[in-house]
Amino acid sequence: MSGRALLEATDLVKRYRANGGLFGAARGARAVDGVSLAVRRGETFGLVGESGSGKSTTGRLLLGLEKTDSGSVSFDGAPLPAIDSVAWRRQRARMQMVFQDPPGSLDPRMTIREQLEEPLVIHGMGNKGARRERVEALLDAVGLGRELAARYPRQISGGQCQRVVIARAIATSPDLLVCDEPLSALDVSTQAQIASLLKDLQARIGMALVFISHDLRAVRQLSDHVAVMYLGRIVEEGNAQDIFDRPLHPYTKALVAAIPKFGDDHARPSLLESAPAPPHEATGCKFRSNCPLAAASCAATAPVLRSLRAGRKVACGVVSDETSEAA
Amino acid sequence: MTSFVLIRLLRASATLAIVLAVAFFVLRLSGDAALETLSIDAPSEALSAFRAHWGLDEPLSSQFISYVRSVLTGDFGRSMRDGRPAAELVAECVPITLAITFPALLLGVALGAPAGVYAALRPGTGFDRCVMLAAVAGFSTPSFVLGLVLVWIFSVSFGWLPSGGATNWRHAVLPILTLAPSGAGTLARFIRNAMLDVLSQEYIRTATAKGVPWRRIVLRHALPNAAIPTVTVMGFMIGQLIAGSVVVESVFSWPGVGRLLAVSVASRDFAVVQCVLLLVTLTMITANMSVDLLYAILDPRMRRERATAR
Repeated sequence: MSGRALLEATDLVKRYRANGGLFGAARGARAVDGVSLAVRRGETFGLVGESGSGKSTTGRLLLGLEKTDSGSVSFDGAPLPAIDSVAWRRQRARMQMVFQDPPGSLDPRMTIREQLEEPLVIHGMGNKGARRERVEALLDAVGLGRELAARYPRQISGGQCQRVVIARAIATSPDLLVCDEPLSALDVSTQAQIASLLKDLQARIGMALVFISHDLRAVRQLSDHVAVMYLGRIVEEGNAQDIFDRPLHPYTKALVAAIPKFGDDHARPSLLESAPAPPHEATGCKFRSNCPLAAASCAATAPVLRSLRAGRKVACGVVSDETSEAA
Repeated sequence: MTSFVLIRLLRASATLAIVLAVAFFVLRLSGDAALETLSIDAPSEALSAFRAHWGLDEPLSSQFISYVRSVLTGDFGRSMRDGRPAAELVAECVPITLAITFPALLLGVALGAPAGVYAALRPGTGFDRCVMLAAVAGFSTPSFVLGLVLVWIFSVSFGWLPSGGATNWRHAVLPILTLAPSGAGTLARFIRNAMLDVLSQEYIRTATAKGVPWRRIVLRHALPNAAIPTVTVMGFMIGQLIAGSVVVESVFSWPGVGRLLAVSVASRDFAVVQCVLLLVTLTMITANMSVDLLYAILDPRMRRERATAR
């Protein structure tokens, strides 16, 4: 990895307990199963995957909002402080998150101004007058009129809510912003506006952005670097342009092939429609039951993420750089 | 806002009218006041004189019309038992009833609200389970059972408190202790659920992620939002108290409105029963209307919705 990473995650594991009921034994499902990644300053890191692939959990682990079962996250060279400690709370000013449900992320009883002011208040930034100016600057920055400050969340649209949520997240000028499906609750035209707003803000503020989404087009539009997750693991990682132009892992290929293209009426491969391997099928590659390239060796050992060439990693025992060139 | 109040007022008067009419007819059809007041073996001349005096020999419809007419002029009739104006009898009892219901309401809120909030902050723990068990026991134990148990413990076994009467404050203790638990239990359960609901909202998670201290999350975000639905339960609690006071006042021979109602129903003292029911209905209507108004004040969404129409 060139340059010092702002955020570095090593071998993150998070299990959720699947309760077996009164008599069944509790089984642990691994939502995140050994994820390592690094986010550099000022870059946009796209995290793609289906729902249930563990990308949201990864996002929360990266911010230290949840305890990892094993593995570690370091931010700006130091490991994340313990959850709810004073240091952890202070650090929130430097790492913020935008959640999926914009209106739900706003307290219905607070005006937009109060919502935008709160991070400034709790992190002790500025006096009353300075905060007032900052709130107006934030509204300008996300393209909202200042008159909205006195409104309540119910009185503005979903897209406006998301702008408020983003404004609130950047209020403390964080170094890192994690956006978990920031577009999926919005309608298509608003999606495009919010996506370009994020891109624009990032360029201006210079913060790193972790963009979590199942929407490959949005990820492609925004990201510099992309990691593809499948059942709690990163199966492929690399430069965004490179990954979308020449996907290597069969899963990524299926995803990229599934992106609707203008004028393309061909039936897309139904690779993703069959059910994923259940969580207890622990040995071997989890994708093999859906994989066109599956070989006997795939059932024996789980593939690890390996570097194929500069900046390109893939977790597949079969594929090599040459096979992808051939494909 | 004015149309909001106006509609409520219209609805309230309709409710009042219905209660008045139903009470009037049901009372008259369910028993003969002359027989109940005098006695079964009273001479028939005395019975017919009683009926003629109170206008009971007239057809029901004309009785009703003259009743409505007098109520509209502020005359609620006289008690058939001692001839005094019904309104006066009821008015005498109101402060006596308030002396136990008001403290019971305060005690219910003081116990129920914090218990519910603390339970919601520690869901699934032993504390939470104990609170919820106590809450269910609180609102599902009938007040006459609880009253008798308290009498048995505090009056019979220990002899600490009197079992009935109303001479000094010590007589009020057991009735209050009997009335409070149902409200406390209702409130505790309701607040717990409201708090849990609010605490699971996205904006609470976001607030945590922003680094808002937990204390501030609870005080600034969770409690005000949980308070909104909780206000509605207060109206229900007042209803519970009124119903409870009828039973509790009878158990402890507390000379309030509740006991007056029980006694008057038994003797078919029409004017008094109707006057009490009118008062109870008015109280309930007022309580619910204040709850609605309070709701509008607490919840900016309700207040502003009309101002900036969407």
